Amino acid sequence: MLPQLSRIAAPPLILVVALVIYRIAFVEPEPPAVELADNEPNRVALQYDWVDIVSSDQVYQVLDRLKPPKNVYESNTLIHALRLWGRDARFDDPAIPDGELMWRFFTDDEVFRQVAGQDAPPLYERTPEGLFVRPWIDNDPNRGTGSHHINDFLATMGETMTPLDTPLKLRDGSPATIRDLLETALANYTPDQREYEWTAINYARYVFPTWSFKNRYGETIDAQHFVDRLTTEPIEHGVCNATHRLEALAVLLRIDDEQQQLSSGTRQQIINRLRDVSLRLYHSQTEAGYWHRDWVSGPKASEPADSSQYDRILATGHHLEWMALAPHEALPPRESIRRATQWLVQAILSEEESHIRAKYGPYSHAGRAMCLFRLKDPYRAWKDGDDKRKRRKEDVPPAA
Amino acid sequence: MRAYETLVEQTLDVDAPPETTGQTWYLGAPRSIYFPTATTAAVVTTLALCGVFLLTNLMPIHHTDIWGHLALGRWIAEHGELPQVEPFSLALHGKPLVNLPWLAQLGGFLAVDAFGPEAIAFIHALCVTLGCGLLILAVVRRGLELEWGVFAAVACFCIGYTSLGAVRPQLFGFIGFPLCLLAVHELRKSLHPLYWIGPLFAVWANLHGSLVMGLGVLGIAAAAATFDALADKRRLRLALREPLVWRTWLILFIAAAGTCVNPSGPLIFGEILSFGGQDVLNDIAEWRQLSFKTIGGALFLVSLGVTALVVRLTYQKLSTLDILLLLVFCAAGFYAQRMIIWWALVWPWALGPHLAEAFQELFDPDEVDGEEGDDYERPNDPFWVEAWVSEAADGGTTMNTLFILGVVFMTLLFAPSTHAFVSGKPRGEGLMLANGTPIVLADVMAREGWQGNVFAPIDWADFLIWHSHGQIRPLAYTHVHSLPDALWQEHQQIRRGDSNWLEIVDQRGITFIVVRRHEHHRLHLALRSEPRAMMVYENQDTLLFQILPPDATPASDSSEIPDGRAGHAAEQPAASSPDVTPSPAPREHPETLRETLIKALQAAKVLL
Repeated sequence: MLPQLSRIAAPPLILVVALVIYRIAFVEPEPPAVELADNEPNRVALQYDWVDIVSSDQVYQVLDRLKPPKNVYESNTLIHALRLWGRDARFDDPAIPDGELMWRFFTDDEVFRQVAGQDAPPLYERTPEGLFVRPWIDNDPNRGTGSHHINDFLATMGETMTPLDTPLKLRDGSPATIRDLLETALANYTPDQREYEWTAINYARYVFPTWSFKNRYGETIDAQHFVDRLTTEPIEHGVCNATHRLEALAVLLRIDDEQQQLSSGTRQQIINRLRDVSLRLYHSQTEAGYWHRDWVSGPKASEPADSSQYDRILATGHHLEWMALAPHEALPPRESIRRATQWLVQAILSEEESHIRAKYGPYSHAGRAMCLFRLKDPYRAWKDGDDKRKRRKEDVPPAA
Repeated sequence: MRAYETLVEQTLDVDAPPETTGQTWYLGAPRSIYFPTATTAAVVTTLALCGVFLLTNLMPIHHTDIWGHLALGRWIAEHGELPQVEPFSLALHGKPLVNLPWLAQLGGFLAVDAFGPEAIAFIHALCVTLGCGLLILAVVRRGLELEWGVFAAVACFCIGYTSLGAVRPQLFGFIGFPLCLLAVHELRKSLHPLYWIGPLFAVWANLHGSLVMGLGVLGIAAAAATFDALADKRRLRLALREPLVWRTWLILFIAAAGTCVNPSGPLIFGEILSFGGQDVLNDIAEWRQLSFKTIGGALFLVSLGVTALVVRLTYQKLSTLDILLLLVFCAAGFYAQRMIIWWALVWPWALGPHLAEAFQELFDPDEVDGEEGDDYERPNDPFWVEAWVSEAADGGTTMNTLFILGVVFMTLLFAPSTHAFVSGKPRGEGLMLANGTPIVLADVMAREGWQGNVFAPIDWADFLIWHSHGQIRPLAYTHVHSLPDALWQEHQQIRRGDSNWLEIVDQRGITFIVVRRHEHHRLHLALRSEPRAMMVYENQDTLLFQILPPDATPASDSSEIPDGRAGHAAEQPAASSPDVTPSPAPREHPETLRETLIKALQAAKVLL
């Protein structure tokens, strides 16, 4: 009886014991979904100072036209203005929001309500899945204060060098920091996320050189995943004429210059994509110097019949912006860049104030691109130019 | 000390007979009366079944009707009764619901409730492995060597691969069906199937409607036996006295009686028989005729070719039973893709003896004696007695047992669901569920409180019902057989973006429309141009529109469409895009193999 019982029970018993031993000896506790190496975002060092592209005076003149629009308190406008001008900008004009006000619009609900109205729904929503930004939704009466692109607020926080432990003052008074926004963005990122350009930028700014993180669905996402998506999806896909994806690639590449985590193959993968785009841009550039929506077609490109000045500024400004961050070998000929920039300068200087005010975003990208190509902090560049202009004004003797 | 000396002596003399001390050496391997030995046959079987378990477990859970079944299971658990009418569709049509697989639904829900979604993956792999194991048993009991049993399991797994990838109550039929094949053969020499066939069908009748396939096997066996007896005796009365004839009819009667043990009683037969005749099934891919462009269809074709070849090569003719089974289930395979799985079970069982003979004819003609096949009987020892023996009669060794334990151990560690249980680390839905499952959409809808009446592709609707705890009420989901035809037509009209789509939406009070970006081009365009349609969410494959009430005025365009929103224009459907109307149903997944490989690589990556 005993031998028979033993013969039946011994194999499963051994199996169970072996599994228990495995569990105890080899299974490690679940690591956090993302391990953040640093509280500070990664800085992208400026690299070009190409005087022939755009002069300092032109930069000043353009920036002077691109001061934050007066009394426009839509989040999309403010995020672009904050991104261009930074947190330190001061304009000595009560109608023009200062950098600090714009920054606090996104980090302090009290300021947000003062600006957007007491009835405006909160910008952030706390849920069991994390801290979400209220999105821009078609026909929503409050869409003006929502986030137009997934994770674009956070990306701007990274660009303005906002540390992760910076507190967010929420309407419900619950404690929150920028880190909560980042963790929510990463946890809810999935490979089928439509707009992921800013998520990739956030990863590059805040997470890299940490190689990978896990989303809330258990999927492991790493740098190679973002590079693959950004370089293999159709080149024409993506918001703003597909240009933010190029910016994400350029940012990751530049940060990797410091961190040295990407393999040479991966770096080449990025450069090849950017060069492919540059080639198309070279061929599709108009005689006047601008690019339009059909830049993807390269040599066969033809400007769409309904192309507007807005479209041209959007395409040209966005492209110049990523170029200013990209390595030299990925750029189109310098003459192409010069012609595009000079067209942009003239276009912005001749643009009506109301147009700039209404469609501030693309103009701000153009202004930022010029500053990046001249190694200039926009606010400093404008301030210096403005001081110089004032001095010049004072030096001019009053007319007889 | 004495035992040690004996051990040393016997180590030197490997041919020494077994001792009674409890520990001996046999052919160089330690042996104990307290520990089982296993034959090489058991090792081979274990390897095959562990392979089946592992491969099945690596399959992702597809967005088929499984989620609707689980939702029904939850409903039953919460209400303590079976639903009398369809509980989830937004249209309260009052059509009585005959819910055959209630036991599978309830069991599945309780398993998920207790162990999480990994339990579903585990049950899936377990059912397929058990089905393959029983098929091996059925084939071996027909008189074939074990390697042919393993071949049968592998062939069945390959032919039925696409069907086996879908986790659904039908999997219980995959277990019951080989038991019917086993019963049919065992009846020739034993009465024991008469005792267990009744309970089998009583359980099966509450698990899934596929029991009709089991009844079909038994009915075909009875008809074949009667035909053979009639051919022999020439008189019906004499034919009915033949043991095999009355046994097969009796077992059919017992199975039918067992089937009646279900909430619908004998009415179940009417429900099952009327199921296949519903027009609505014509719109469901898996109920359409078999396409040979799919993997399943191609393998089906290959199996037919092999059948023709084998029949030509073998000396002995196919038995009446084999012919009838092959003909009926081949016709069923042609009739609907979903029937392939039954062909996958029948084919190796019916053709096995002839295939073995043909193989021998080709590769070892001297050994062909023409006597093997249906008439050849194995000893009456049960299969597991042959495999697990404590005596050294047929060469079983302890080392084999240890090897088997090692294989099982490694399988449990490498199979994702069992690894999740062992390690206490569930994989997460992203790794467990198939690509295309609307996980994020369901999450977003739950987070935003978007619920109520919804139009969604039916294979997504089930998941939305499950995830929202029934708060999302779709116009239709995969239980289309429970819908009136008119309602299903409305669903199809919206899906196609017919001119009256908005009228139906208003009539049914639908507030959200889920669009599959790459399929519903015309509906997508119609929604884009409809002022009352507000796109509230999108990802690479999905668009979610909220439909404002007819009297609502869209918000004034106080804020401009931001730059970049128009940037997706390149990805919008062109107005001239043809309205592709692919099947809305759980489809045969051509990417299944690729997905499985990807999941396997991911799982391996995690483990390493």
